[in-house]
Amino acid sequence: MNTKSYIKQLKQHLLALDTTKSNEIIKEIESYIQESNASYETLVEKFGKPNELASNYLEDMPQATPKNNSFWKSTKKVMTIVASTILAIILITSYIVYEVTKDSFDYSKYDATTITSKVNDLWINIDGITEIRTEQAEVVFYWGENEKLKYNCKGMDYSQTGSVLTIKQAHCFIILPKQTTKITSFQADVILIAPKYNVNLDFRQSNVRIAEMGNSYNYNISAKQSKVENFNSKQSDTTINATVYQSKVKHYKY
Amino acid sequence: MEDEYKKWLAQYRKGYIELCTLVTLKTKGAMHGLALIRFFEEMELLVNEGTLYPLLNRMETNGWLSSSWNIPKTKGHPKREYEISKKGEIILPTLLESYELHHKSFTKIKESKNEY
Repeated sequence: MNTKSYIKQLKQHLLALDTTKSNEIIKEIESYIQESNASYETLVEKFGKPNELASNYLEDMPQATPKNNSFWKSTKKVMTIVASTILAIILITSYIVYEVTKDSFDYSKYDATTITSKVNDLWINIDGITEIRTEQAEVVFYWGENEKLKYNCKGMDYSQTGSVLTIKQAHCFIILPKQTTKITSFQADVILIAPKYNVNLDFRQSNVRIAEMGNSYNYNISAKQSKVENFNSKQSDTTINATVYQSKVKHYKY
Repeated sequence: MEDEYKKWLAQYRKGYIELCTLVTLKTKGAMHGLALIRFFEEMELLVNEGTLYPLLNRMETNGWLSSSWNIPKTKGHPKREYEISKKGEIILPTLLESYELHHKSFTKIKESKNEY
């Protein structure tokens, strides 16, 4: 046993003390050892055993950070950092998801005329379409004055069979003529901007948003296993008949 | 029996040694622990290191003393020097008065013994 082991043991027994205080005490005992050239035995004789000396120091001293607390304090610190990191990741992910999934612009600020200027890629005109079918697609519908249906699509597949236009896995803007009276969708994201004419909707496993733009509609909504926001049905020349299954129908908000 | 005596002595001496320390530092100025022990020894007050060092520490925590590390310019090692603080100087007369009152009372009590 030497003085170093005395100091080491004393340090262990002083762990309950604040680190600064404990360091001061150790430094002072080391200074005493140098001053008096004390051996381990002398230290025990003068100061008592390390545990006894430590208990003399600890008596009446504020033990703000007992070692166990110190352990919990450091654990708490680590947990706080981990929790903050997780929270930051969640926030960043949520923000990215929001940015990726949000509408590229406020569709309700445009109508059948102005949307063609906003989305100035190639618009295709087709005649004689009475029904639109959408599958796993994102489609924004406007209602125009023309006889022909007008659409602008980016994506996988859109085809015409007789009077039915089918859109799959595409992102489209469609301006509907009066004669197109049926829209069906399956696993699609559909936005209806201010319908002007009567329309029959059949939505399955789809998200549907309707922008009324101050217009009144006569709604007939039949929903099963769906979440449908409150749409006020009013006396109107325009009727929206909707059959909804496992879908969400809500008001359009950008 | 010996343990009980030691406990009593420890309790009794704590306050007494604190008072002696304050008086010494007030009259002699800053001193380090070992110098205080040697001085007390000269004054025939035997205090061991294991009692005095924790006590100095406690008195500093109380605010009665302040300490600083005296680092020699040429050779030697740093020493922690204690001096009486302002708070210590304020409390010292009260402590002395208390001690003297108790001492007088004790003398009276001791002397009154023969009257019974």
